[in-house]
Amino acid sequence: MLLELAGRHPLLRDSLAAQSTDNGRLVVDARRLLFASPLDLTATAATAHTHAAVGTRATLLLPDSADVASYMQRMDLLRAMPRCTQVEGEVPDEIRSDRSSTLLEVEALRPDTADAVSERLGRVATHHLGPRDGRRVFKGIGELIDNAISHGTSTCGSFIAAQAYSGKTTGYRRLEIAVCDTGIGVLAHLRGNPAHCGITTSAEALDRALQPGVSGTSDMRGNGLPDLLAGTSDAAATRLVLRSGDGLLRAGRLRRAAVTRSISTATPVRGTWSWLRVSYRH
Amino acid sequence: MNEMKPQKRETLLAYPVKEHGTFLATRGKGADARRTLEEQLSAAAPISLLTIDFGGVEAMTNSFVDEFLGKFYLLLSAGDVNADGVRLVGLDEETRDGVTVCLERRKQIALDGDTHELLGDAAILAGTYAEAQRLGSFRAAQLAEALSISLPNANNRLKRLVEAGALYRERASGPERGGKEFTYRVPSAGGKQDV
Repeated sequence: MLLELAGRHPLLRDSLAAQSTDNGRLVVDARRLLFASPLDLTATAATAHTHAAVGTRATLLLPDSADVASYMQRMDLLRAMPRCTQVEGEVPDEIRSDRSSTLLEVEALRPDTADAVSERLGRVATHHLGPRDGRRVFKGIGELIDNAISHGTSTCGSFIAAQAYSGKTTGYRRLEIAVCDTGIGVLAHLRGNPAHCGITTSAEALDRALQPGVSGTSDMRGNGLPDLLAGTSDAAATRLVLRSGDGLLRAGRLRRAAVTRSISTATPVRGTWSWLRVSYRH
Repeated sequence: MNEMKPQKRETLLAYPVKEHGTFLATRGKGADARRTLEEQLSAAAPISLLTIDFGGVEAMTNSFVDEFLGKFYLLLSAGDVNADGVRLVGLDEETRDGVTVCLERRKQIALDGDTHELLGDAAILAGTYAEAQRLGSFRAAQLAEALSISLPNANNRLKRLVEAGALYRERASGPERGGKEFTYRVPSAGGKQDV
């Protein structure tokens, strides 16, 4: 499989630039990547581990841009890749400073790491967005973490990363977080509940998952994603993108206006990829 | 065989939630917090007043709250928790909002020990609880009269308040009409001992 990461936010586009190959390898070609977001990093790690689990080795072609390659290294993507990964391209020298208040490097998300990750992201959120908004945003982040831990577990693992942006150039304080798990996906999870066994597509499953009280279990739960979208303050612009199986859902909320759209895509992914961005105007 | 006399419960238990972290996200964490609380209650029973202290908790997801508090109050209403009174303290605006949402979803109520108000599905019971506070120690008939409602209605409301640990219920010393009769009072932190 060849997965190309090119331009800015390539994994937020409707279609992934992916194609089958017959060389029995996974090649992630990031040479033309101009901006790496937490989603690009965590999805790359999750995809590589999914392939490694069935004996497929990965090759990562580093970005031509030294800045982007340096960012990938600083975000610990190279460490998060399977050990057998072949990295091609120039690995920049690294001068590492403590950025724990502005970013969370790519980390494996498991029940035993979830607490430390939660504490760290809570600090990042409140540091950048202020106590009130930061706490509200954390509640949404926490629901993504819980989903990955509760429904997305697999032997291949889940990965999480986050980045806060000061907004000096854009005028928006932002926090971006991505969680990519390699579990059974939203469709299979929801169909585990007889009440939702009639759902036939991943796009429909993602749509349904945004409705209050919809869960793959018969317990009284299933409010995490609706709470996430409703929970940020009216001053925030919230964007959530979910990709699971061949489904893609985009949801946005600004003040009291909310928009949701789901589609089926050509390239399915294993598990569920979540990307959340919350923006506040300066 | 000597008949055991019921002992007056005067033991207090404080449970600081922040021991589990300041940013609380997962249902698994909520289940851990609930199990620890249940263990402490079992070890310390009988408890007259349990205080669940959220002071120092910066944020918690609704999933955490539901798994911890929602399911704990289910146990409480089922009579599986050996505590007479339960109150929540240390909630700020954000954490109180999360607790309220979760209680409402499960149609539960809880006593906010800082504001002395009911949280959750408390629309009808708020007035009942306010009247109970005013009465101090009372019988169901007194409450029914004060609220101008029927005795069965008062008993139903009192049952929910007792199940949520918002009111104590004690067997009245002298039944007036030969049947079971209870006195009710608002829990206070006037017990002897913290554990």
